[in-house]
Amino acid sequence: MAMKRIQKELLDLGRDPPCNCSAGPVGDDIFQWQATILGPADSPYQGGVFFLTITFPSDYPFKPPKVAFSTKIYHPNINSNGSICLDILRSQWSPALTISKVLLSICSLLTDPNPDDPLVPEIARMFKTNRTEYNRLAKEWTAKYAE
Amino acid sequence: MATAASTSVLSKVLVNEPEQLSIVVRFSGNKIYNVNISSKDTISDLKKAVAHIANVSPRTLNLVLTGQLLNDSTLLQDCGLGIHTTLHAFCWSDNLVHESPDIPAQKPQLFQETDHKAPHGYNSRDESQGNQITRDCLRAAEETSTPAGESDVDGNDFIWLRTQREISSRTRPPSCYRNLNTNDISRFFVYCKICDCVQPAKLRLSCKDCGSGAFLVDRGPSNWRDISANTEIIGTCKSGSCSGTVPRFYLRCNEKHDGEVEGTAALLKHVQANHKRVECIICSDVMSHVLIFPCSPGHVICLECFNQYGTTCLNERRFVEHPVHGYTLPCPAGCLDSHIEETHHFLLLGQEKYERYKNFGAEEYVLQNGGMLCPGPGCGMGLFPSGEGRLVKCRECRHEFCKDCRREFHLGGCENFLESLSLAVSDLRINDERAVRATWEQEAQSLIDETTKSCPGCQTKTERSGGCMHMICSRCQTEWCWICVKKWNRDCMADHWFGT
Repeated sequence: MAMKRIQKELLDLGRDPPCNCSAGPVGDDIFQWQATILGPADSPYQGGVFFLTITFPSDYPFKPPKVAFSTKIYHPNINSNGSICLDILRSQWSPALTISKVLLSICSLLTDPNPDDPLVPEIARMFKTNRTEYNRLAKEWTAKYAE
Repeated sequence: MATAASTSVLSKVLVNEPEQLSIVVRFSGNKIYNVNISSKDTISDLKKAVAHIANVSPRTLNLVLTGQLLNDSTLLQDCGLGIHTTLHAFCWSDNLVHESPDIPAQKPQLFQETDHKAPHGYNSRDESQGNQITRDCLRAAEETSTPAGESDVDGNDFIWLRTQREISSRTRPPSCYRNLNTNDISRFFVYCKICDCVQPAKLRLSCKDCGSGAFLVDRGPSNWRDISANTEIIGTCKSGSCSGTVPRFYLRCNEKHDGEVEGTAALLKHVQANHKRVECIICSDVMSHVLIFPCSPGHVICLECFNQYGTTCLNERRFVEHPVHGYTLPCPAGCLDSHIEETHHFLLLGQEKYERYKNFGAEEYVLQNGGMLCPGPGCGMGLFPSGEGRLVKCRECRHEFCKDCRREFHLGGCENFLESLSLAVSDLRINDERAVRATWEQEAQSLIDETTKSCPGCQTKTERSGGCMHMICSRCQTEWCWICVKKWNRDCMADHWFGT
């Protein structure tokens, strides 16, 4: 079941890829994927290429996939381990969601951080109180780690 | 010569040979006659045969099928009668014959359309088609079993491949939908507790007062309400002296069950044959039978994915208590007003999980209404303790426990009690036999203490099987921190979301 559904998603991604995102298996294991997200144009992450790892549980899609950034990123909802604070990856996961939708949600999280539910409070504070400095640091990290 | 020969072969193929039918006629509710008759004969011929056996005038005799009178001129082959179909017969009294010469006699019709619909009256998007059920959907049934006093309304073209079922039940894990056939175009499905699986169903009706099938309805059902206990359809009971006017519709498993009692077939109103070939929202396969959520887009899920969706939600206790529909699940796409409206659908998870579902539902009801569950070993009784004191005594297992910490009842504060408990264990001096038992229990208790933490909201022992430190209690929905065992707050977010 899980394998069939993952293969189907892979096919759909190839046929109709979401903009700025791509994803596919690493090696032979269909349950281990790597994804890339291009920094959205209207964000300080513009120009960066961010890598993510995706691990599908054996009972996918009834359980959410584990998604984490492997490229360092300066963002209030993504911590130094690459863990992402996104409700649809946890309690709000639904088997009707797909990797494509998850990646699009992460793209929109890059454009619109959610400082009220921060994983990294210092970055959230910076985002709220000094947007210029936040933008500068985010750009600096992007240039340093993602280009 | 060659042309003539092939023409005669063709004419033989085109003209169906008359078939010999054995029809069961229940006369006035208690006498049963078997009539052998040709399918080319008419209802009038059948009436004559019955009248002859029953020794009444064929003019006063009436035959009922599907709650409707059969027309004299109708050919039996057009009634959709099967080998052992039951018809109900009754006599008009003579004055009625004269007063009502033009009682509308309606002919049950055969399936004409390929686009068969289940009664959709419950669902506004198909309301326009809801009325179709009366004539094109409810047709005479092939009656393989003839329980007393029943009238068949809905037959179907279901072909059950017994061998296929037996093979599949051997090679696949038990699943409740293994024997649904792709050719099956039934419009009603039930979960048959005798077959322990989904089965096509027959809709039947009888008089609400006397239970006789010799009952004429003014119109056929066109939606779920029409076949519910609150049906607005009325009619006339033709059984003896009964003056009943209300029909009672019910469903039966399509399979023949000896001594079947009512209540063994649970209506699955969201389940349908997938004649529109819609993809499953989860696996995107096109399956022969699907469940359609009552949301406005009508999202489709195949029965296997529904089983897994339900099982996952059951294990994570993610069912919700709906004010109208009870302990249920919404559409996985998160649509509004999409909850499964009839809890028997959770029989699709299998009877063992259905039992667990019912227990969880009862527990949820108790917890949501301010009650608690007895922590006594193997008990779990729902209790609504009254009064201010901490002492709660279970009326089922007599276990006495503290309302605050859910441990056995103690004097003094709960924290002091926990400390004294660990001291007491080391000072234990008892005889060997008791020591063994106590160790066993103590071991279990220690294991629970080591591997779990209590939810700060409801004290439920909680095990963490992975993920971050942000816990959401599946019982009381409290968000708490695994590290400090307190309600989730900014400090937890900053310091130990991922364990550091």
